[in-house]
Amino acid sequence: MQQQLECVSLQVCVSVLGPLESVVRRCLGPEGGSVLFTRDTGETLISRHGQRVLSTLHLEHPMARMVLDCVCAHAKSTGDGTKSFILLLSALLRAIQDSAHMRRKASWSNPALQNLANRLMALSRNELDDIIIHQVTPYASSYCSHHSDKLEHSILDYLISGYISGRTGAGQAEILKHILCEFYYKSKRDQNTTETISFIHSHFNVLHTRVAGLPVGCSEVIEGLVVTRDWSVWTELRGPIKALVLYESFGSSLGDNITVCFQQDWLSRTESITKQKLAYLLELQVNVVLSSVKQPECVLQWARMNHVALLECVDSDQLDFLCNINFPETLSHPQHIVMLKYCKRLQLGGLRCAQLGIYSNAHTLVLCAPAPGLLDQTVCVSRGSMEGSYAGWRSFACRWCV
Amino acid sequence: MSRISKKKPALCTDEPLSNSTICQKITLLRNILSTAYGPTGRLKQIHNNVGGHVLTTSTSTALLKRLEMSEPLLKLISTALQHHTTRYSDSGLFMGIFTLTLIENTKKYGLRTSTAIKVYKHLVEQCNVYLKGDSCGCKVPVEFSSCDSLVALAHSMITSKPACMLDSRETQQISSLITQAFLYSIPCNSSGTACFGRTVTIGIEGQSVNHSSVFPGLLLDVPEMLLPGDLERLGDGPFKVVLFGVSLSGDISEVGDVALEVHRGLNPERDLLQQLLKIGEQVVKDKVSLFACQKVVHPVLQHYLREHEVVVIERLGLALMEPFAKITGARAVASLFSLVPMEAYGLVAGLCFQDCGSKKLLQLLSSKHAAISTMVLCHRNETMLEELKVCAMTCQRAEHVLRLTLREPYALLGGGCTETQLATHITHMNQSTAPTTAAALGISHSEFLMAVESFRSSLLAVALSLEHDGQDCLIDLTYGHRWVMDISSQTEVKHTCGCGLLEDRSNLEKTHLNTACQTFSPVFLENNDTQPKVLDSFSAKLNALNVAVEMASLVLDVKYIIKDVN
Repeated sequence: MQQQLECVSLQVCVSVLGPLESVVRRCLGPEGGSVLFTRDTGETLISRHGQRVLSTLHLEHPMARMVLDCVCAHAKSTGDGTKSFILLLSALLRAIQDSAHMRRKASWSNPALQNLANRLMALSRNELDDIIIHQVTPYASSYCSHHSDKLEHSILDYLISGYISGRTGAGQAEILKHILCEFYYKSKRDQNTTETISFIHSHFNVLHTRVAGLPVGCSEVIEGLVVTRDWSVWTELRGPIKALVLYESFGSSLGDNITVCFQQDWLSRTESITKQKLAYLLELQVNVVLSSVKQPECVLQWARMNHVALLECVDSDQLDFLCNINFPETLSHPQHIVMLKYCKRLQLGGLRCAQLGIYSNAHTLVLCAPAPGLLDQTVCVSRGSMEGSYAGWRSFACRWCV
Repeated sequence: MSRISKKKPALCTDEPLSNSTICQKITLLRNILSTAYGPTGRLKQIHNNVGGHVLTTSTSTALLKRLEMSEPLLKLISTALQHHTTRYSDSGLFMGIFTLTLIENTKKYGLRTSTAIKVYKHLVEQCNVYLKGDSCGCKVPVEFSSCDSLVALAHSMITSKPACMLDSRETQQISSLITQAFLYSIPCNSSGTACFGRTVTIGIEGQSVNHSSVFPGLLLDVPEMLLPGDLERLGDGPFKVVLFGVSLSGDISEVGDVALEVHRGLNPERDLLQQLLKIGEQVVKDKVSLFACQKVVHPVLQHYLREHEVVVIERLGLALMEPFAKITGARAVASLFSLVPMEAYGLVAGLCFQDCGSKKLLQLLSSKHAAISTMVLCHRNETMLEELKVCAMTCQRAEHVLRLTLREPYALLGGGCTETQLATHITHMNQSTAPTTAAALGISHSEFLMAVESFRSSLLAVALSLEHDGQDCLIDLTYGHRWVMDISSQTEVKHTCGCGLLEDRSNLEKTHLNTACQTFSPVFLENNDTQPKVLDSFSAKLNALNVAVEMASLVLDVKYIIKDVN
């Protein structure tokens, strides 16, 4: 195996960072644009989020990959500032390279570079913190005050809007900021901020729905849980409703290598087992059945006859969420009973969905976008803003001892 | 198996809108869409040079599905367009032309993209407010007490699809048929929440279009061996009906691909057949006259039922199960092994034969007022079968548009008049408030005015694309409607404006559409007696306007494209 040896000079470093800089430069700041990625599979991604843009690039040079690792580590601990990182880094390297001319030399020699590196590290370790704390922070701190309770609402608004403005176009930033704040306030009610944000953050997958083909302005916050499936059997129901959550099909589930044995009376026996199970359900006075798989026709027929509403092929994450949030009485593992406030039919941009009212404050965020690529970006940004707010709020709360 | 090859570096494009290749592609797509717009739009033929399906169409849905775009920006626009037309069935070409023209004009006027995006957002909000407000001159309320507006809406939709090859009389007839089918599908006297019925469409070749008609109830293929005499023997309705959703073919294939172990002396197929015959006996005992099954019925069971004067319909298909259940009130039986419950039976008011050209069909009439009807579309010969399908699709889409109108009972003036009025109104509104608005948005006064001009000329470009025969387009300076020069005389203007609402008067000053003119506020026509002849769907066009501006903003915002070619 041949190893390629390359002598790494300052010139190489600057040229490796050049493409990264040119990509990132275009999406920095309020006037910045977005970057569009496409793959041959047709997948598109639109983003101006620094970390996302850089991670999607296919980087060959080891130095570029090292820089990307640093960027990711930085993003993990702070959640922001990745574009600034790259731009500052390339600017610093270029300045070092150009300063060779000031010293009237052709280029830096290796020992001189090493010396410079040591001095820069010493500066950052000993003096940089002081400069920022004493010269820069006072301007920012005058914005926040000691009475954090009063400003609690607006601090979160600023956190969210700051996060979003840097990551989406101006047109969508206003709308998204408004809708995310609305989502947060509606989900909050009596809980405190930290609990609400961490709840939304950990369950975001279940608490949002995507709709393609509508303008972003049609996004909204809907009470309860929205399932993007239409009811297979629908009846009008009122009041507190007992719902059964099923994870497997009622019909006989046949796997591989099974032998079906025909014995006497096989006709009547096949039916009686399913009938017994269904009769048991009726005894439990269940009004709604939520199933994560498709149920056989006889179950649909039973549901129609007995005025039970049936929803099939529900995402199992959503069912888990329902079960956990409701402290259900567990029957036996693949069945749980939960209580619901109401069940409704919903139209979301031409799609028929089901809306389940639950006895907690959870709301669902419906995100709309004209194209799927844009929808992915919107969802990502919304999720990220919740993460960012969580991180930001935690550090803020620590600081002001809330 | 993976091929080991060196990974190719990605193709990067910096500032795509400054790239001339991309701009050429945008212009090309805009030309394709503009030349296909409107009733006189030119048809496009899409085929590849190695044979295969040839498509002739002028609808945006069909065009964009077949056009493969290599440029990611155009693919984004195409996807958004297709999503819009799936949802609203109309105004696809309008949206495409407007989006692309906005992008081109932003470049032409040399606007900064962030400025342009802000101003366009502000302007489209103003358009929304204007169009949803009360004193909007381009909005016409749709009266449901008379069919005129509904027929006009359906007529506009059909005429905008020239590939259907219908002459004016046929178009008029098809539009009234669509309206009729739509009105049939609105349930009356229903308790609880009302929901729309359905219109099933059947196509028949060999007849001229004039033989198309709408029948209440459901039309099915006549089952073999059913003679008119059998129906007469049944007498007058109502008839009891049973509907099966499972296969009655008597084979045990539902068990799947598994090994079967059969005990000695047992014959599963014979047992199943016995069970099927038991069902047949019960059905005959309960005096059922019509036996319908979604899938296949065993021949022995069919013979038994026919002997007992029960009409058997098999192979109904999944698509017809719901309308059938709605019409008869029967609930599909899903199990073979137990008795048919009494609540599963339904009723049908009448059964009769209908002649549609050369085909005979069985008509089921509902005893309660179920909102199901069947539209039979006829067309001349087999080569026109493609157009027939286009017609059928167009009819479904026209019906969809009419349903959307129920939610928002307005229609917009067609024929380019909405675009001209909107453009005039927006320019007028923003001229006086320009300094304050520009300051609020954080941009300079002249940039703001240029962006407004770009928006205005994009709207007018859409109106201009309606004309393909080289006529001049004019706008009148009082009401802001669009006028076209008459083909016969080169100096005189056609009698009515684009939408048919206004008649030409000698004192109506007009000027060419693509010139800068004095801004004015379009006069609001109150209590007009004449009805416009060309109407567009309100919800579809409003959504198209909003999504177009959003897509244009998105494309203008993209400053770097990275194409991974691995």
